[in-house]
Amino acid sequence: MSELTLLIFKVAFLIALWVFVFFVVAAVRRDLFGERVTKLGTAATKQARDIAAVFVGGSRDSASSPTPQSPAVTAASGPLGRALELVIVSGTRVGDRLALTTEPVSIGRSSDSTVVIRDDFTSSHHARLEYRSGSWVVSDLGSTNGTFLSGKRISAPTVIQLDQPLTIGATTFAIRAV
Amino acid sequence: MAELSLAQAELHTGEIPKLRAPRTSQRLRNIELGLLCSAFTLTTLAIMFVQFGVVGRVDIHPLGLWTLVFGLTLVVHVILRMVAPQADPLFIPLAFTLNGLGIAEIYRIDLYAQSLGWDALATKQLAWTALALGCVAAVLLIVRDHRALQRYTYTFGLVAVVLLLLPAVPLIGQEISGARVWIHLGPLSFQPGEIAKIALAVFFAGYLVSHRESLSVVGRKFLGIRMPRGRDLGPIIAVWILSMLVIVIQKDLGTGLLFFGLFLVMLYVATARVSWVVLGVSLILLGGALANQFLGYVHDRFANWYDAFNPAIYNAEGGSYQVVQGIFGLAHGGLLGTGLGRGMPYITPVSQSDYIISSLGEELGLAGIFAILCIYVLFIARGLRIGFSGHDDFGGLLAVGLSFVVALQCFIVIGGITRLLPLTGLTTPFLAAGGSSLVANWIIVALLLRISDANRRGSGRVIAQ
Repeated sequence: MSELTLLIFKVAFLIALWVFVFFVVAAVRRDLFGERVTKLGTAATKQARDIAAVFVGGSRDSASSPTPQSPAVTAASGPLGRALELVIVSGTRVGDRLALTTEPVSIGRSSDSTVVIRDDFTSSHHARLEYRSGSWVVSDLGSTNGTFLSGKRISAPTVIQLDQPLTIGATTFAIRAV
Repeated sequence: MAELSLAQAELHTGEIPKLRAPRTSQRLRNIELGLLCSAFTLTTLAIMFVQFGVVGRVDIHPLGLWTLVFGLTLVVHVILRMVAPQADPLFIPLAFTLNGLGIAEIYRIDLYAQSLGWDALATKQLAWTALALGCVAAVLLIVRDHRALQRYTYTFGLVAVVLLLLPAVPLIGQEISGARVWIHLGPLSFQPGEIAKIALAVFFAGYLVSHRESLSVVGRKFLGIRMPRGRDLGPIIAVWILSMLVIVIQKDLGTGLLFFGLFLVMLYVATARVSWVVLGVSLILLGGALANQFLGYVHDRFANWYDAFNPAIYNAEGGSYQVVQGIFGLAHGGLLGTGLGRGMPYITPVSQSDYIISSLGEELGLAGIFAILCIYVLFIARGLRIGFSGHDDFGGLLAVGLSFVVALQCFIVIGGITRLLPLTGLTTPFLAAGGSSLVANWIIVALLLRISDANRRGSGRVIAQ
């Protein structure tokens, strides 16, 4: 084995090592790019939903009509009105968002909840959000420390308005239009 | 009306987010397969170049064994396709590459020492890799939801303590080069502390997630720092003191530093309080100063570090010979290294385990070491990212803890070899010869894969951070 061959091997291996590192970095970039495509996808879906809402509202004059006509007083409305999301506005996971469909959302400490909050102030099954005839309704599931809507403890299922603060333990949520 | 319904039908077909999910998972696994194949090519090249460099011809035997290990990795890959299709695609190829580079370098030193067959450390390392991959498969198949681990928070705490105490048990415990951290079972020797670090990470994550509100909000202010209530801090301090005691008794400084760093970072991530870090770092400095004063072996380590090139210390029994030889090795390597199989890494004591980084640095040079560090950085960055992107706090905290353990271990070992820190006896993750470390780090890979899969599966519900 001549010195020259070994020198070529040495340089070749270093190049191969770095090529591998760049392969991995390229894969991560593709991964990030892939996620961005998914986001564009949901944006397009949202746009499609908005158009669909206009169609539905125009043709059927349905009860779950889109909100723009009376935004001040309308309760948070459903999937065909506007795409809504549940946002954590304060607490340890501030900024987390959850897209709302018509599926009920449960909040609590147990891991079968849709939104899992683990602290000393949240009960294992604390509260539930349900979509009922055009609006989102929050009900307390017998929690120890209570569920607060705009600072007032709720005692019965209550309709939740857009951007109204919903406090559970040390976390505050709000429903927002996307 | 007909036009209208047509338009609606079109809009309906336009909504395809549900169809995207399986394609994404396939895509992630395909990336993994591609990277795994290039990793196999790279590591096979490394083993071949070692053979060219030392004996000048190719020996098919070790290559065959390495191909067998690659086959096992492919089995794990197929298991991932079935039970965790959305798992992050980088972990397995990165860990596999480090593992393979480690085996190539261990094999290189075996070739010099003429140890072959089952006496060779490289063969043992290959067997341990196979066992570790079996553990990965088992963890992936048994732990279907990492949140189930939270139910056993205190069990994991207990397991960690028991594992740390095991080497002190007279019959199975064993003392090697001054540290009593080994247990001996038949032909196998094992460092239970390596597994204990995973159990401790699970315990800290489970405990901190449910108590961090109380830890960060409740309590009295003392010297401008909010001190938590005793009953909130009690169990965690108890486990910590216990592990520290075990370490003082077992004379293993590196593991002590590792556990304390893990504890500190997880506490900081859970409570977001800088005061914890300030308190913790001052405790480390205080502890270091006290240990330097009162513990003989710690004092020696400090002397070997700050006065390494003093001939008296260099020539002393247990002196700085090893540290200095490691640095000479790195210097001999220079920018591009001597080439695989062409250096003299065997001069440094334990060049296959604790000093594998200086062996690789000698033969691959600065360029090679930086590539290896890049691989570590990618691995750790992916782990931390999983911690941030999840929607369950237990998984997030666990992912941060596990990747931080790997990061801190790299820092302590490579810092020790390059004389940034006093030398402590820890293994370089995935590279160094040593079965327990290899198994533990591969289990960390399995847990990170499981958490990343759960995160991506949930991404249908949580849109963004």
